[in-house]
Amino acid sequence: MNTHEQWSELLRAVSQPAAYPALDVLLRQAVELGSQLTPEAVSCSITELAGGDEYHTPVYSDQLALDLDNAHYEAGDGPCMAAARDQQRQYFDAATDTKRFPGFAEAAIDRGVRSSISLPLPSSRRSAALNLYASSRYAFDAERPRAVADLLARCVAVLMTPSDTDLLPPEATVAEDKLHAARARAQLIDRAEAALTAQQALSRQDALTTLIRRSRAEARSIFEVAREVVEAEKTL
Amino acid sequence: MTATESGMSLEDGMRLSGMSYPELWLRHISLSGAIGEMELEAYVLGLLVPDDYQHNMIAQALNEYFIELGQDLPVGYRDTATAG
Repeated sequence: MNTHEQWSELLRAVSQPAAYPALDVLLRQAVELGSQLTPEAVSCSITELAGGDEYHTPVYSDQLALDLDNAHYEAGDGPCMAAARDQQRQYFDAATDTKRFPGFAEAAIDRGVRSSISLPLPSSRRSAALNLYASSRYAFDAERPRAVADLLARCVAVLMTPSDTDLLPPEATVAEDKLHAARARAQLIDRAEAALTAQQALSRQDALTTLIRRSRAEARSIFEVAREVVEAEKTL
Repeated sequence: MTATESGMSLEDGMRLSGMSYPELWLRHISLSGAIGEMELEAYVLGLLVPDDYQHNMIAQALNEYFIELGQDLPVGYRDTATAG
């Protein structure tokens, strides 16, 4: 499976976790994706508070990730534990954070890791974090790796606690009035598509493409175009 | 798959707009789109590869934002079928 196919399967599982009994396989797939998130990313793991003050690593991409996580636990602190405990994103730079996390920093430098990002996994039931380790400094400073890591963490959070009602799909948390307004506008598009389908024997996809083409050519909103199509249909 | 025509990528258009993903998702729903917000986010970030139809629908959702501001349509479409 290529990376696109892995993401596709992961997102399908997130939308319907009950349909995927082998969520542990998908979690391993998720950390594999994390370990390839940027050219500099080398390892990925999940840190979880197992009970009391004991943390453990239930899923990891390779031995390096496990060794680094264990260095956290032996030192009693580190970015992954801080992310899980405080539910706040943690960035680590091996050149500047040696005093903040001395035990972990030494282990990271010894193993060639220069930066990491740890993202809390939101859940009402557990404290956990997704950790990504990289071989260069600033590997997670850019907007894109941060955005991808954030999406991956939300996927992992759902897969780890699929029945957690606090992890409703983001769309379920959109304000009802805004969703209602969006669906009302969609009805206008639907009516215009139906009119074009009837008049020109187009498929629904081709009808939308026709609306987009006019919007693009006339540099105006597709909803204005759709309204005109619907009004014209009434006069026929 | 046809190549993206001249214009911004979905990701660059998203960045330029400054919109949040929930806002883009609502705009996508307004176009009768039916995918979830996380899937939409994955398409914009290039983690999933949209077909031409899906790409153009997301491009239109983004361009609607710029049309409302009286600007040009900066995000590129795919397939000459949408060319004016």
